[in-house]
Formats: sequence, C-alpha cells, structure tokens
Amino acid sequence: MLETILPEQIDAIAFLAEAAQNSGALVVSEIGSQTTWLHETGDHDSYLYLSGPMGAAPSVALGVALSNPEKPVLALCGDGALVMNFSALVTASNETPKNLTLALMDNGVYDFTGKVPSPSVAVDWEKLITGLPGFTHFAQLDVGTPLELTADHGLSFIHCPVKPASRKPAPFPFRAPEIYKRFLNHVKA
Amino acid sequence: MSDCKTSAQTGTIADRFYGYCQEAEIDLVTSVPDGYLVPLIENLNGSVIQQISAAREEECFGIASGAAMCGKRAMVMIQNSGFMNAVGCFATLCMNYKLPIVFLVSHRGNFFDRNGYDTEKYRYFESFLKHTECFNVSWYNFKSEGNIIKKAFEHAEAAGEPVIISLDISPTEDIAC
Repeated sequence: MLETILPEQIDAIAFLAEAAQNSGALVVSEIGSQTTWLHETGDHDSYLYLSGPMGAAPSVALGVALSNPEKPVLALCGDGALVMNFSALVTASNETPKNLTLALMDNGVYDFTGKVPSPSVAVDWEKLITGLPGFTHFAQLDVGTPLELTADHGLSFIHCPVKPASRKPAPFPFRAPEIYKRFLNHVKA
Repeated sequence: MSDCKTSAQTGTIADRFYGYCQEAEIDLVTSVPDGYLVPLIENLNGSVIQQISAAREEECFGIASGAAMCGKRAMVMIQNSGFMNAVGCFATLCMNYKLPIVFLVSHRGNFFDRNGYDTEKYRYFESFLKHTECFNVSWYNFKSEGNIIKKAFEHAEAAGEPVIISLDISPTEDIAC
C-alpha cells in the first residue's frame, strides 16, 4: 500500500535536479540507477556521473564540495550503495562542508539487480544522521515544496523514499574520461 | 659522496616533505595514517594544504577523485595493505576516469622495514605494482631523487593517469649517499 504513494525514483531525481539547476549546484550521482535516471531527466555539464565503485558518491561529492566552497553540491546516493560506504558519512560529518547536500534514494532494493533486497532496509536514516553532529539538517523529500540549495546551508541530508523502478532506464551514452573533462570545464568556466 | 656534501638537501624525507608539497602546489591531501606517514602528515598540520582524514582508503580515493575532477592537485597517503583494500575503487574510478592523482603509499614489510614481519603486504603490493597500468616509482632516497612529488604530479597531468609513489623506508631515517 505504501509503495503506491511513493514517487518513482526518476520523479524524485527530476525534482532534485531542477532544484540543482535553479541553484547553480554541482551534482554527483552514484553508479547505477542514480546516474542513469539523472541522465534521463536531462543531461547537463554540471553533472558528474559516476561509473563505480558503488558507494563512492558521498566521498567524491565531499571532494567536489571542499574544492568549490562557493557552490552548492548535491550528491544523489542509493541506499544499497551508501551502506557500502557508511564511513563516508562520518568523514563528511567531521569536515562539515556547508555546501554539501546528500540525497538518499531509498527503495530498499538493489534496483539494477532484479530488485534483490538491500541490507539498508534495517537502517533508521533519521536516527543515523541526527547522531552525526556535523549534519545540521535532516529532511524527508517533499516534492510539493520548492527546494533551494545554497553554499552556506550546512551539511544536509534529504531522505527520499521511492518505489523500485517499474521500467529500465535509457542506455547511458558517456564514457568516464568524457564525463571528467566536461565536468572540469564546467567547474573552471 | 661529494654530491651529498654539496647538496642543500639535508635531513630526512620528513624534514623536506612540506617544502616538497608546497613546491608541488598540492591543494588537498587525504589520508589514512600509518607509522611511516604520521611524521609526514604532522608536517602538513597548520599549512594551507587542505587535509582530510578519512576512515577508509576507499574514501580517500573518492575524495581525491572529486577534487581532481575540479582541477585540484590531490594526493592520497595510505599504507600498501590499505591500497589493496581499495583496488576496485582505484580501477573503476581513478584509472577509469584517467585522473591525475598522486598516491604516496608506505610500502611496509620490505627488507628495510623494522617491522619486516609483515612481509605478505609487501609481496602482494609488489605484485600489484608490476601489473597495474599506471606509472609507479619507488621513493627511498630523496637526496638523489629530489622532489619526486612534484615530478609525480607533472607526469600524472601530462599522461592523464594516476601515479603511485611507494615510500620504501621510514621518512625519518637519514639515508647516506
């Protein structure tokens, strides 16, 4: 019953991507469904699509955020991937970059593996994040309220419960070096 | 011997490390500490070089990759066994995106290591270095090799690939010429 009222992941990402575009934010997307759904919402040079390994997005986004303190940075993470790199939350909490927002797509499954359940279903994300003092904001996704990302908002976490995907995304067309070069050009412009 | 006496390069690797990093114009260092690396990390304390202490080596690879993809000079400092914990990340992120990151890896368990009982990590990392496609270089005598960190970044950026520097001795040892 709950699943029927949850958004599709692509709809949640489209909402966040629009907020990122309106805020001039840099976006880092996790390998797999976050990267492919983000691309399907519309491509942009400010998107740093990751192709591996699972769980790298919050760490890469931390490096991007610390290198660009004047810009907001949004990381699109998956629940299965984030539990592979839990310690990235601790490191981010210690560094407390004011311009970084982690958005977690939580569907309880490894979406690209035929919906194998993820061990992340056992996590209470609000308790986890509010137990890390560097995080200053925890919110549930609310697609009905406009979202603004700023460079001085404080380290933030948006929990986004979503439905497992009902279809496959479109093929992803980019190679990793091409993604790096165009993202670098965007940052330096 | 005469080169050693006339050289301005005195002391140890640890003594000269901060100067080397400054000269190499490093923006960010991310590390998981090791006994060899501690004196080097401490040399950076209070400097303008941004230091990120991570809980796991794979995090270091990610943080450095994010910085490198923004045009920053990023160096990872970890132990050889820690590097092997994160080989998949090295392959699919650092190598796949062709990122000019420098990895300073304490190569523990070798012949000169006073904790040489950890020989397995030395042998397995040696095997990795032989088969990886990226450039790697041993750093055991700064007096003859000069600022190998600066050279490593120059190579990494020119070649469009990571460089691994294996630190083969304790950086606090004063190696004779």
